[in-house]
Order: sequence, then C-alpha cells, then structure tokens
Amino acid sequence: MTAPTVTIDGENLPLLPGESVLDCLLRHERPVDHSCRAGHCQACLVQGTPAPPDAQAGLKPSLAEQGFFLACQAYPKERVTLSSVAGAAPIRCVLQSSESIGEGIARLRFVARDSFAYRPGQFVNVRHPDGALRSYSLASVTAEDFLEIHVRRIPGGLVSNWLCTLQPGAELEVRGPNGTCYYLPGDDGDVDRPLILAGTGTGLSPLWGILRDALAQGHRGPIHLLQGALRADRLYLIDELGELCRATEGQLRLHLCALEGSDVGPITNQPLDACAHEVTKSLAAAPRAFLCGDPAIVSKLQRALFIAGVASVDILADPFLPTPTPVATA
Amino acid sequence: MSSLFERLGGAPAMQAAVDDFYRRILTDDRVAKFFEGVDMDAQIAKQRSFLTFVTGGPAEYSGQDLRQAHKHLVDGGLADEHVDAVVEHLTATLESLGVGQAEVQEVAALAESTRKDVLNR
Ligand SMILES: Cc1cc2nc3c(=O)[nH]c(=O)nc-3n(C[C@H](O)[C@H](O)[C@H](O)COP(=O)(O)OP(=O)(O)OC[C@H]3O[C@@H](n4cnc5c(N)ncnc54)[C@H](O)[C@@H]3O)c2cc1C
Ligand code: FES
Repeated sequence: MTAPTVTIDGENLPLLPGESVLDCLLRHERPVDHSCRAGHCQACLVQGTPAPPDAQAGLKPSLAEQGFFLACQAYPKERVTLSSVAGAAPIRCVLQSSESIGEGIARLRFVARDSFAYRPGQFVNVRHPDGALRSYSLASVTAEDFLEIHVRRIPGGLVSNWLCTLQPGAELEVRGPNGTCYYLPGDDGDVDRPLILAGTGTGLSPLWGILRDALAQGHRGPIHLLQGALRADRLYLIDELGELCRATEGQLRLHLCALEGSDVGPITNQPLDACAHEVTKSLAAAPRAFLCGDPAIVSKLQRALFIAGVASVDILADPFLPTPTPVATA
Repeated sequence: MSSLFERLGGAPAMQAAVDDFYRRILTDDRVAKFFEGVDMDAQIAKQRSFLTFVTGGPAEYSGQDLRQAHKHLVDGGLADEHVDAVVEHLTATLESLGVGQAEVQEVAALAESTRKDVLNR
C-alpha cells in the first residue's frame, strides 16, 4: 500500500500524520473552498478516486457516486487522485432588497441569474469578495420569486458585516443548496404528525422557510414553533408569525422564550429546552422536530427532545457552526 | 441458527433499540455525565455498532478502538460501577423487546467481554 498522498495535476503531495486532504492542499498553497471544517457546510467538496467513504457522509447520492467527497473530513490511508477541487458550481445573484427586521438582523432578498432549485430550510454558501465562504439558511419558499436570508451582524465578523452593507443591485455569488434540514411529506400519516420547530436568533430563518413550506405541502398536524432569545427585544418576525397563527386557525402555535426582559403577554422566561420538553410531553402523537441556530442550544434541544421520547431519526438538526479562525501559518 | 441481531429484525429494528438504550443512559445520573456535551448523532451511531456487535450482527469492533475511545473518560473517573450501569440498561432494553432470559445473559456476557478494553486495563 502506498503512503497517504494527495495527487493533483500530476503532483504528489504527501499527507502528514493525522492531516486532512483539505489541510494538505492548503499547506501546499492549493486554494480550496472551505468554511466550517466540520463536515457540515459542504464548501470543501472535491472530486477524486478512491473517495474516502467516511468523507461522503451526508452527501447527495448523485454526488457520492461521482466520487465527490468533503476534503475537511478525508483522512485517506492511501493515495487519492483528485480530478477537481473546483467545488460546486457558483450561482450568480443580484440583491433585490435589504431591510432591518430585528435587533442586528437584516433580511436580504436576492434573485439568482442562473436556475436554482432548493428546499426551504436548506442553506447556501455565500462568497465574500476575498474568497471567504459562510453559510446562510434559506427563509424563502419556492413559490416566492426571490431567495431570502436573515443575517445577524456579528461584531468583527467578516461576511455578516459585508452582507449587511450591500445595496440593492449588488452582485453576489452563492453555492449550494446544501443541507438536509427541510420538510418532506414523508410516508402516509406523516402529514398528520405534530411538528416542532425550534431555534434561537437567526435559527428562525430556516424555520420560517420550513414552516411555510410544510403548510404549502399540505401538512395537517399541529405545528409548534419555539423561538428563544437572550432578551425579549431580540425575538423577531413576531407580527408575521402571529398573523400566520390566525390564518391557520390554531394549527400553528407559538412559544416565545426570552431569558431576560419582560415576562409579559405571550413571552415567557422559560428556557427553550424546558419549553421543548413540555411541548413534546403535551403531544398526542410522536412529533418530527427541526432544530436550527446556535450550536450549543441546538445540541441542548436535541437532547431534551430525545429524552422526552422523540425518536432520534425524527430530529433534524442544523447547528450554525462558526467558521474556525485560521491558524497563522509561518 | 440465526443471530439475535437477525431475529430482532436486523438493522431497521436496531434503531428503536438503540434509542431506548441511549435514552436510559442519558436519564441515569450515574452515567449521564459522561455524555455531557457530546455530539448526539455521533454517539447514537456508536451505540448502534455496540448493540449490533453484542447481538451478533455485522459490526467491526476492535479492542484497540474501544481503548482509544474511552481513554479520556477513564481519566475522568469512568469505573466498574459505570460499566455495570450500562450493562444493566442493555439488559433492560433487551427485556423490553421481549428477548428471553437465556439470550439476555448471552448478550450481557458479550458486553462484559469489552469491560477490560473500555476501562483501559
Ligand atoms: C449551516 C449553517 C447555516 C447558517 N445559517 C445562518 C443564517 O441563516 N443566518 C446567520 O446570520 N448566520 C448563519 N450561519 C452562521 C454564518 O455562516 C457565519 O458563521 C456568521 O454569519 C459569522 O460570519 P462572519 O464572517 O460575519 O464572522 P467571522 O469573521 O467568521 O467571525 C468573526 C468572529 O466572531 C466569532 N463568531 C462567529 N459567529 C459567532 C456568533 N454566532 N456569536 C458570537 N461570535 C461569533 C468568530 O469566532 C470570530 O472570532 C450559518 C452557519 C451554518 C454552518
Ligand atoms: S464541510 Fe468541509 S469545510 Fe465545511
């Protein structure tokens, strides 16, 4: 067996012990897209043979069959010959509008110049002019003729701040869509099962997409939407959610949780995971759950729902992992 | 004779068994602390290979891997009493699935055989 090596354009790059294909390529100054380094965002998609099977987890079968794999998750034990490190095809978009819809949160709507098929709740990887990529979840539904993302401004954050300064008419490039956190009508009877949609901050963005998509696809069971925030004034889309509650005549139920601030009206001081547990216990049938946003909270919610009896396969989680800051190279 | 794994319904049935087993672990204060902050999906995948292994299904399970995976837990205080608790939950899960006593004992014995590696002895 040959020593672990990455072969690209006829050049052999030996892998250091414990080094991923991504790190090896970057060490040799081969530019490759990447972001989360955790096997989640799929920005680091490369094509080669033999594709390390562990690095194909979560990929669309059609991509896996063509030998695509995630470079950040690939620790080959032999030689891997890469045929492409170009990643997914870029989609050119034009910004249509940008509007503040909450404390530090901007709603961006844009239109793809190329054809773009997605499921609400999936995410795209947005490219900064410097080449950096960050993931943003799609809040729009396919009946709308724009794509919508909700961007929280992170102090000192490269891409979120840049996105929030863009003016209508600006060009941007995205890749994707990626992710498996979306609504499928599923088998017989699944449309009657309860849904639990829970998240904090801009975790509401994919949930807003999934919620409206489920309704459009004829979901009949009760839907519980749980939105959490540190402070009550950080909750957003409250009016739109309230309107949808009325329009669905009780099918949609809202649970708003804020740790600080007013314990008034519909907003409680209950921690989100405790609320999720309580809602689950109150249900007459086994729910399906969608959890999005801050990774630590998503993980807490996942655990709370599982302990409350939700089957692990019925919990879809979409943690918004931050991009690790690159280690300075000498 | 077919393996218990096959008689339980193979891989599809394993999912429900794994959920039951892992839920018992997470709600047991004696052992839950060792699972704080771990990735639940990854953990469930590991429990699935463990259950597949102890019921005689197709799972690759090497003593070396087990040692490696539990090393930091042993450093953090993982001991015999915790392995006892896990075996107890395994037994309870199988009993809840209607597995007979003789077979439960067999599975427990197989789980027991991993104790040395799990505790890095
Ligand atoms: C699948 C997925 C979906 C996502 N969807 C969305 C979405 O819909 N809306 C959205 O706003 N974001 C979303 N994110 C997060 C987004 O991709 C970026 O990580 C985020 O916008 C910060 O990028 P940045 O370039 O502005 O900051 P960076 O330049 O990457 O980071 C700057 C500094 O801020 C820190 N930091 C990063 N994130 C946070 C945070 N949340 N809180 C505190 N400090 C932080 C970093 O560690 C770093 O030190 C998603 C992430 C993933 C993986
Ligand atoms: S999946 Fe590899 S960098 Fe995100």
